[in-house]
Amino acid sequence: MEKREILHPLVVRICHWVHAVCIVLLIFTGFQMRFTEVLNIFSFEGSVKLHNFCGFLVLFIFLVLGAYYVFTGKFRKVYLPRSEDLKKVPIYANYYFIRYFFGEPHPFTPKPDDKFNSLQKITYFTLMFLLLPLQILTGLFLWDPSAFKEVITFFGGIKVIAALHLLLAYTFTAFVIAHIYLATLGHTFFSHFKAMILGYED
Amino acid sequence: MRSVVIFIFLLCLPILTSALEKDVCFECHGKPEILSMSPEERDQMVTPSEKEQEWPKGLSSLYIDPERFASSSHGGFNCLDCHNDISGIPHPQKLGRVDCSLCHNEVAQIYESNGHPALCHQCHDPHYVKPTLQVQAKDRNLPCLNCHNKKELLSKGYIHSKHIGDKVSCTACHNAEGESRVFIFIKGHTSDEIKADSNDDGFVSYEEFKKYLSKVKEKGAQVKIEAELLPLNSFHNYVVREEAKDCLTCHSPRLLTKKPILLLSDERPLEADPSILTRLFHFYPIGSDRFTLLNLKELVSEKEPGRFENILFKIGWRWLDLLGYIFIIGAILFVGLHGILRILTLKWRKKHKEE
Repeated sequence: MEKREILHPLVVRICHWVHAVCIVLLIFTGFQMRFTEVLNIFSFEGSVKLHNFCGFLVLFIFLVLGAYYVFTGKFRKVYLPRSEDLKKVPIYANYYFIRYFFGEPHPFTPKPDDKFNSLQKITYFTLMFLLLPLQILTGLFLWDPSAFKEVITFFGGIKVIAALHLLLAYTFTAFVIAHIYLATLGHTFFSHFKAMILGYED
Repeated sequence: MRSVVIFIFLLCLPILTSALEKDVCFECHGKPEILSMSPEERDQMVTPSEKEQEWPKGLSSLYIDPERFASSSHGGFNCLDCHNDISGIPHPQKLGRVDCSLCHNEVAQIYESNGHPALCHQCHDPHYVKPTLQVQAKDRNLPCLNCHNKKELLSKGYIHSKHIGDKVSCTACHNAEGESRVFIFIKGHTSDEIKADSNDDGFVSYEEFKKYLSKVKEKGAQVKIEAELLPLNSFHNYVVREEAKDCLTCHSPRLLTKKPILLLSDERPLEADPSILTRLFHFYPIGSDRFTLLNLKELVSEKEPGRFENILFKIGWRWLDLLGYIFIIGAILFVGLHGILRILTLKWRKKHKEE
C-alpha cells in the first residue's frame, strides 16, 4: 500500500480545530456583546465569560502552534512569504477568479514543507502572525483595563484599543466566511476538510 | 514646639472660653503638632472624663487641616454646631457622638433601615466632606473597600471583578432609589473667559463641547478629561438598583440615551449631549457606542452638506461598525458571486476536465 504524505501533522490539526471553534465562539460572543438586541444566544455576562475563556485558549494555541513551527524550522518554509511570492499573487488570483471557472487544474500542488501557495502564504502570515497577535494583545488589555492601564494610556486610551480590537474582529469574521468557502474549492467539495481531519488529501 | 503650644493655650484660656468660634478650636486642633504630643501633654489641655469612649473610632483625627475644612461642605459651620456637648474650654477629654441625623435626617433614616453596621463617621470624615457631585469614584469607593475587601467582593460575583476600580462607583449600582449617570470631570482649566456652556442654557451640546476643547487648546492649557459612572444622588440604601441588574443599561447604546453630567472646576454641573461620550478616549463600556439604525436614519435624512458632515463627525467611533459591515458584506458577496458562477459553470468545468 502506498504511504500517504501527511500534509497537516496531528498537532496542527488539533490546534486548527480547537482554534476554529474558539474563533467562531469569539465572533458570536463578541458580536453579542456589541449587538445584544440583535443576537441573544447567551446572557451578557455569559458571553463575556465565554469570550474571555476562548480568548485565552486562542492565546494558548497560538503559543503552541508558534513554538511548533519555530522549533521544527517549518515557519520559514511554510509561512514566511518571500519576494517571489508577491510576484506570483496575480497567477493565483487569476486562477481563483477566472481559470477556476474554466475547469483548469490548480497551478499549485501542496507538499508537507511547502503547503501554501503564494496567496495563502501572504494571507495566513498576515492573519496568524501579525493580526492575530495584535488581536490577542488588544483582547488582553480589554480583559483587565486596570491591570494594563499604563500600556493602554501609552497607545492612546481604551477607545483606541477597543477600536482596533473591533476592526480586527470584523476582519477575522470576513476571513472566516471566505476561508470556509475557499476550503470547498479542493478537487472535491470536502477534500480540504478531509485533509484537515485525516492529515492527507486523496 | 509642643510646650509653646501648651503655653499659648494656657495663656489664652480666659479668652478662649468666652468666644468659642472655630478659630479658637483651631488654636489646638488646627496644628499638626497635636498628633505628636504625648497623652500626658494632651491631658493638660482637657478636663478628665470618667467615662470610656462609647463609640468606635472613625476617620477623623485630632488634627483638622483648617484650609481643607474651610473648603469642605461643612466649612461654613462652627465646631460647636456639631460638637454641641462642649460648653467651655478646656473641654472634656471624651466627647459625645455627633448626631448627624440632626441635619441629615432623611439619609439617616434610610441608612438605619438597611441595617449597615458602620456609623457615619466611620465612612465619612465630616471635616473634609465635599459636595457629592465633586467626589470621584476612587474616593467614593474607599469607605466601602475599607470593610469589604476585594477578595470578598470577587467571591460574591463575577460582576465585581469587572467593575471594582476607579471608573465605577459602588453606589452606581448599590443605590436602590437613585439614578446613575456618566460624569465627565474636566480638570486643569482655570480660565474664566472660556465656558463650555457658551449660550448659558444649562446644557452643553456636542458643538459647544467641541468648541470649548479647541479654545482650551488654543490657550495652551492642558486639560485632563475623566469619565466615570456615578450616582446622581446617594440615598444610602445599598440594595442593587433594578436597572443596574441589567448589564445592557450601560453596555448598549441605551447608555447614550441618558445625558451625562459635565463637571468643570469653574462652572456649575451641567448636563451634556451623550454624543460627547463617543469622543472620549479613556471611557468605553463595550457596545455602548455602536452604530444604530437611528444614526443611519439621521444620516440618510440629512440633506444639507454642512449638517451631514456634522452628523458624520458626531458618529465618532461608531464609523468602525460601518467599515466592519463593508468587510462582512464584501466577504459574503465574494462567496455568493463565486458560488453562483461555480454552479453556472459546473457542466462546463466537468466537460473540460473530461477532455
